[in-house]
Amino acid sequence: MSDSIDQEILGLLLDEASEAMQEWEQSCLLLEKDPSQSNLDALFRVAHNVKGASRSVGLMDLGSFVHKAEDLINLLKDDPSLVNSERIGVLLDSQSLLNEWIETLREDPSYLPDTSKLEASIMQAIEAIQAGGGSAPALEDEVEVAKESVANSAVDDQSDRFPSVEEIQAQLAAEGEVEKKATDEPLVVVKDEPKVSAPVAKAKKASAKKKEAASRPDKTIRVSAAKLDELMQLIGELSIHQSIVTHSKQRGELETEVCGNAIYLSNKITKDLQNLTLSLRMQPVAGLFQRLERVGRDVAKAQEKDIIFNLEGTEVSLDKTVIERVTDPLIHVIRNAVDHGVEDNDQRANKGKATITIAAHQDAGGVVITVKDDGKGIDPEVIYNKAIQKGLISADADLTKREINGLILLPGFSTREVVTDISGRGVGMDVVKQAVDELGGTIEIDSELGKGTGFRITLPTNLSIIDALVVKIGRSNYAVPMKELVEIIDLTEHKLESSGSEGKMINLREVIVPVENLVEYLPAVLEADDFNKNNLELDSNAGTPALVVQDGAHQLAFEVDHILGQQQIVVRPLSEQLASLPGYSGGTILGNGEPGMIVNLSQMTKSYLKRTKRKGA
Amino acid sequence: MSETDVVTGAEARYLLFKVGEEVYGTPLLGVREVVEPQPCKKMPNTVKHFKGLINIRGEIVGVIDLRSRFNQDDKIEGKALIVFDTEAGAVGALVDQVDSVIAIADNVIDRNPNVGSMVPIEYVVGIAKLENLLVSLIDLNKTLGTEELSQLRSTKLSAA
Repeated sequence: MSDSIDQEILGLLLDEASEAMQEWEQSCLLLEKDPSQSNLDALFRVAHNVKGASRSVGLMDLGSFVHKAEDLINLLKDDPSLVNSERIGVLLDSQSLLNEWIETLREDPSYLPDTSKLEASIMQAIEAIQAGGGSAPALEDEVEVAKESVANSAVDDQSDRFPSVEEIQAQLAAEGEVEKKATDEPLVVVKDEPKVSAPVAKAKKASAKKKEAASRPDKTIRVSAAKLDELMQLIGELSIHQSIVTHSKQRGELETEVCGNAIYLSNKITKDLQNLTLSLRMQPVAGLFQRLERVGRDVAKAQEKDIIFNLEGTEVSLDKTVIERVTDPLIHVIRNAVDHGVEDNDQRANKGKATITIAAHQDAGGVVITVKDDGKGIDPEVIYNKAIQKGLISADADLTKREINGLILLPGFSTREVVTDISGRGVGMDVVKQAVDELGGTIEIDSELGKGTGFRITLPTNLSIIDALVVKIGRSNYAVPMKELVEIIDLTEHKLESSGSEGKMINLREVIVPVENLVEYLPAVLEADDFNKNNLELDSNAGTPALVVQDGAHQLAFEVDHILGQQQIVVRPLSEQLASLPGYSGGTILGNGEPGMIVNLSQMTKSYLKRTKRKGA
Repeated sequence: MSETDVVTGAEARYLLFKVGEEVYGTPLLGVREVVEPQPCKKMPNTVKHFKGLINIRGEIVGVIDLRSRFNQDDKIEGKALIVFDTEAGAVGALVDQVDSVIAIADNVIDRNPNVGSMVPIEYVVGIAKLENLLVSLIDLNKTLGTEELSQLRSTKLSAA
């Protein structure tokens, strides 16, 4: 039992510490631009809190390493003029090490990295400052010791950055030795199974043992207390309306006005609940952008390029899962921008500092993230020739500029002559495209020679609710995501031409569009009463709708039997077994309560293109 | 690891059910619930014994008809639906009748039965010798979730 509590406390602490590390990083990056007292204070506070918190759960080694870094920060704090990029570098390296340390502790609570090298560079920096006539070290130490003793007590007065750990510790402390302090941050930690009951002292004593415990702490997410209150209130309201309906049903008064109102209001509240629950998962992209800036800075330093990073729209929010899954691809884009996009200092035309802008903004289709550099740009000629040389396109291919730029997203494409450590192993950009595709987003590249390159990535704000068209094929209803469709046409208004063996096509505004019947991809499954009624022949005068989709330069129309309407659908996870069936991208519950599958039109389009191409060759 | 492995030397509880005239047992721990069968939403491009999809409290669950899977007359509709929690997600199995839950001691189970059966051999984990009948023990939890359901009847939909 105590082990699981230890696990929980450790998990909470690690969550806090990861957040603190982000703040550490942010402070360092700010310091580099502006070595002000307030930035140093913020950094010191973070280090101090991490130290106190880690020692309180028995992570002594972590605590003492942070303590050493804190010494350095303390010296800088006393005299901001001592801040230089070398010292910030040491602090950022410490942050990297600590970050990795903290993340590994989640998997392996006994993890202990080799800190000796970094400790040496920290000591070196401290000695350099002291030799250069910094403030008296003896005094520093005394202050430090005093502060530490505060930090070592169960709750540190200063550590208001750790409200949740503190709160729980305070609740736990049966001895009452701890004074609970009101926290100004209105944040709480939501957990799957909150179970806190034993005194913290016991937990602390047992903390040495927990190193064997292998179970990974639950994932947590910070949400605002106001939103939780709102949720509670909505649930309360909903249950009132629900009991009115239940009551009416028992008395046979379902048709009364009171009951009608209750049903109407339940609908409204359910919608509110849905929106609110989804918003709980939304996070601002600020943390993501900061990480990107850090990666970009590190690469730029390593290559000795002077680059200024501009972050815009950091308050735009995205679903947590989307952020997590787009992080690695974006890091790759940044590395590419620094490595390939920006030329070396001496080659830059105006010799000025390069700028990379990372921006986010909300769009009708979702969130657009752009990464733009002002480097040399992509030479379409080079890309085109390279693609022909690698056999990715045929020599007579006629492509637009944007299509040529898109070629660098193909697997096995890398234009750099020398394979570098940073990027350019020929893997990469295709992985970015794949990751963005999987999220249902798009990626475009705009580039002008001599002016720079911009990556434009459009992402859905959340993954679970989409706009869909419900269509009927045979007797089955399917959902088709609206974003896959270019337009919906009525085939009876167009002249169907035969293209020989089997294909049909139409002339849609001077573009030849092949027409496929979706029922040939998803054969109708006949049910017993199909033989009695002539269901399939009904409404034949309602026109023949077709859904037009686009894959690159190709358009394709899929004929369906009926379009039943447009609705928002909630994407349901499918068991692996069902997910492996071809032709679908997910499942949902349709308006009538029946399960329905979400048709993957782009997979069918690809299948069509593959088939027709092979025939032609 | 399935529950049948855990309890060697002890006894474990099994859910007994009928498919056709035959009585089968499956480890109870893998069973989530038994529900009334509901009309299945049929799916194209799937094997014959895959009945389709149902909606169980908002979750989409695939249903496998054991009559059809065990090579019996599939014109008769099953009367009970056992929902299993497999590693790959929930799977429903349509059977004729759910009988009872009994504890079977491990020492009455023959782990290597050498008998012919209507049931695919990979399903059978043992034969339990009870007082007046022999029960084939099948670990549906293990096998149902990994069954291949896809059978392309449409040549147009090759996996692109």
